[in-house]
Amino acid sequence: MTDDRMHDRLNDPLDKLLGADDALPGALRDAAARYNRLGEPPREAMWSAIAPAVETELTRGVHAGRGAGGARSARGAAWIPWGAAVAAMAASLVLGIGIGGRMERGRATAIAARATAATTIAARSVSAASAPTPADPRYDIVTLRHLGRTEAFLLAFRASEGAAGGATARSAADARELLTTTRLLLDSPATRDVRLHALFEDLELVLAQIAQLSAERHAGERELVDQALTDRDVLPRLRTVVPTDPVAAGT
Amino acid sequence: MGSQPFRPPLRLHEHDADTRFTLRPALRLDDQQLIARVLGGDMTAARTLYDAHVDAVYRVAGRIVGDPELARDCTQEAFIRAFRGLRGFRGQASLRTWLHAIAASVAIDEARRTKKLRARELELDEADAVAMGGGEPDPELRTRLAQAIDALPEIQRVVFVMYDVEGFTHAEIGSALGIPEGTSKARLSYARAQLREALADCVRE
Repeated sequence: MTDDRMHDRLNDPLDKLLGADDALPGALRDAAARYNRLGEPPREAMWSAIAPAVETELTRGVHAGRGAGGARSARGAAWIPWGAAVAAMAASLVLGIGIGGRMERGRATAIAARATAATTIAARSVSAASAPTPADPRYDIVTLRHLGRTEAFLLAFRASEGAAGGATARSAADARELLTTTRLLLDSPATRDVRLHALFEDLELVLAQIAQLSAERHAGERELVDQALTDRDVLPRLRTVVPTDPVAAGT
Repeated sequence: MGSQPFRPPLRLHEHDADTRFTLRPALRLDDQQLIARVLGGDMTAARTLYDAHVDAVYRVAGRIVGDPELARDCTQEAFIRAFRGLRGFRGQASLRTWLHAIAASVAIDEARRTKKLRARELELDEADAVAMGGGEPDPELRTRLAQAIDALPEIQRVVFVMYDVEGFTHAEIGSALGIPEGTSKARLSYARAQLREALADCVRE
């Protein structure tokens, strides 16, 4: 850039504001720093929500890594898979969320399909360690438990029509928790069955709608939720999947 | 598992709006050690990794989706994906960049899915400005800028946010979004041009 052009730029108020070259100038930088600036992250709550799934992942990874390397020790083979798996299941029970499912190693395909090109990097990383393994019936319990909780929540939500704004906020919070688990299971082979996958997709939609309910526009938004529940036959389909035995359903 | 006590790594990155992020190779050994521990099934190490990066991941997601609850969902999903894919992480980029790449991808996906951008309420902004005192940026400028950023095409908005707001380099953005560095620069240039146009009257007044 010539000195003249530089001089012109420096005297252009827009360039002063937007920064023609590299860094943003002070006024705009300060304003931009406040763009979508959120408060403190809910660190503990987020970790509590993902810890069981993380432990399941790591357990599976340890098992797969040892198998692939052929260096599995007798001690490791004896306690790592079962100890960690039991710990993961216990954590799932304690936290009351059905995370984990049958998260076998073939999940990369599902992730890539759902997340489209935007998740290329993550999906590519996952696929490197992927190979399908047989389903583990223990994880069916996790899926059923989650569906049982979701059914109970949706029934309670329907029954709460006309409730005050506080109830709406609680419903939205509960829906968000269930939505997280729903999405995790959607990404896992636990929902490989076509009909189950479709049910989870519908649950994702409905839970997302409830999660975004606001007290101010409650009525109109709620109608949309009710309409989605009815149009998609969500509750009847849930009932066909979730056993009536509450123990079996884990509710 | 992990008979030796794990030594948490130094906090790797501090964010400062005035400082461009740089990779610090001397600290990457800590990343490698941490990753090795995590892949060994050490949940304490997993938590350490989470603690070291959760604030920044949440912030990146939040900048893109603009909603605390969505940011929370995105952060959780980003970490799940990260732990799931950690074995495939080869260190081509720093762990931080890799995590932010996942966070950005998840958040972009979420923003596209929900098409929900945070509503801009001038009254709230004005109230903020009053509460925060005279040292804060011009509230009208903040609001106008936020609206203008929201109005950018998604691909430009993300680059602008990552570069000008979050302090990524073009190399890091390219790595995160899977685009050439030059494309990142071009998108930033387009974004700035549009912001320039949108804020023109703000300056001429």
